[in-house]
Amino acid sequence: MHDLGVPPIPYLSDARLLARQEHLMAEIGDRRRHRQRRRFALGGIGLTASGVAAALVVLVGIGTPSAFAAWTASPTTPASGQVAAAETACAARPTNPPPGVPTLSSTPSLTDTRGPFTLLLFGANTTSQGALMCMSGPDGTQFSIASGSQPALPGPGQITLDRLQGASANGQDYTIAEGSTGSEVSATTLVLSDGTQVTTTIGNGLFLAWWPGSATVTSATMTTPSGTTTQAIDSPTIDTGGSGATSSSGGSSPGNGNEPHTASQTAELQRFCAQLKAEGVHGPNGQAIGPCASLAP
Amino acid sequence: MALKDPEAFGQLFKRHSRAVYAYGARRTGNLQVAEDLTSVVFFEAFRQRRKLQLSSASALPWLLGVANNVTRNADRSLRRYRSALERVPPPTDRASSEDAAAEHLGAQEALARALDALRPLTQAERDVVLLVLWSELSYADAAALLGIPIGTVRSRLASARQKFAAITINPTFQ
Repeated sequence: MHDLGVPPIPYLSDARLLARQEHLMAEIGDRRRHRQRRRFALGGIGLTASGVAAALVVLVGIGTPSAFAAWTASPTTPASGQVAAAETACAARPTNPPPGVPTLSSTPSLTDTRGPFTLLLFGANTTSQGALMCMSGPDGTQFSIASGSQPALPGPGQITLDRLQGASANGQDYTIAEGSTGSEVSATTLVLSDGTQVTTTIGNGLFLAWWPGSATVTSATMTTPSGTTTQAIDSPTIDTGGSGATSSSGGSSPGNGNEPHTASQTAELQRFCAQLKAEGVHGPNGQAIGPCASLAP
Repeated sequence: MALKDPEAFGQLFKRHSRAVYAYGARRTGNLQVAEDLTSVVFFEAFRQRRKLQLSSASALPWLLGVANNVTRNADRSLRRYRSALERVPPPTDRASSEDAAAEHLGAQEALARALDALRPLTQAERDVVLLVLWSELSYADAAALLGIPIGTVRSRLASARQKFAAITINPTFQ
């Protein structure tokens, strides 16, 4: 036989394929349950005074030595399927935030793409008690963040930096900024403490950006119909985990996670921490994280 | 297709498992091994699902890319999932009957002859033949899958065809 014709393959019966499919589903279910316990390492967690809104950083599947090499200072147009893949990956995360905080399977409020990285923001509006962020990048790199309730809206032409969340991936720090934009703001660029200028993604009255490292924000430039204006930013301390939710420059939900809780808040915290424990979420050395560390074992 | 849950992945299996099985059979020349490799490809595909970026309307090119990697070292891939494969239920359909076994053997022999005919080709040329001619991928999908320019796909296919033409004219050429 000396031609390149397609060699016939005997028909594989439906019964045989169905048996394989059912076996595949059963094995995947088992593997997912086991993997969830291995894949999570916690960067930080804190609860605000409300006891409901939380700041949570979950690092998943970090494996690249230069995790942020492809980061860009300005948002980029997502590649085909990039956002859908991120939404799928984030929706599969077992993160179980407290009641009132949006889930990773809800519709994102804002999506920021920088090179291969996709950062999804859920909630962070006046109708939700908190926000949840999930970033996915190359090689399965993913991190999820939940943070506290949204502070007051900024005035026209202004912004408020509501959250500055820091964590690390593969030993490399990164910082996420999320905030609100006032009316008339059509674009805003953050100026960092190291001089870097990071253009944000804005929409739905929100802005979103992130950068490698742990620089804070010193000012912001806003584009409005009347021109470009600069606003000094009283940058909140970067929350790197265990110290509570970040407070905003004009925020209304300060908290360091160490305030006393009511009985119901403590019960809520216990439930949340138990869920984290069940999912294998813990600090770098395996210890309980943030306010969970203060709970009686 | 959203792969957010195993059920969605089950649909992916239902839609593309025969194509993956055929690819595995033509790649390895062993129908039984191809069945196991089909399972392995979907195990691997599920593990790598976050890398899925659909560049075309079908997930098949991506799945065949996974299959290409899996079958490149089939023994190692099968070893990796050996314990899972041991839990595959035995077939209960007519494929276990004598007639089906004879049919299976005939197909196996035909497959062996077809693969034997590919021996004059380089591995790179075989990859292109398997993907473009035998699995009916587009040149663009094959190029993306193999990480090579589309022109290289064309040239490798042309080279493969030239070698077969030479064999047809002069059967001693090999």
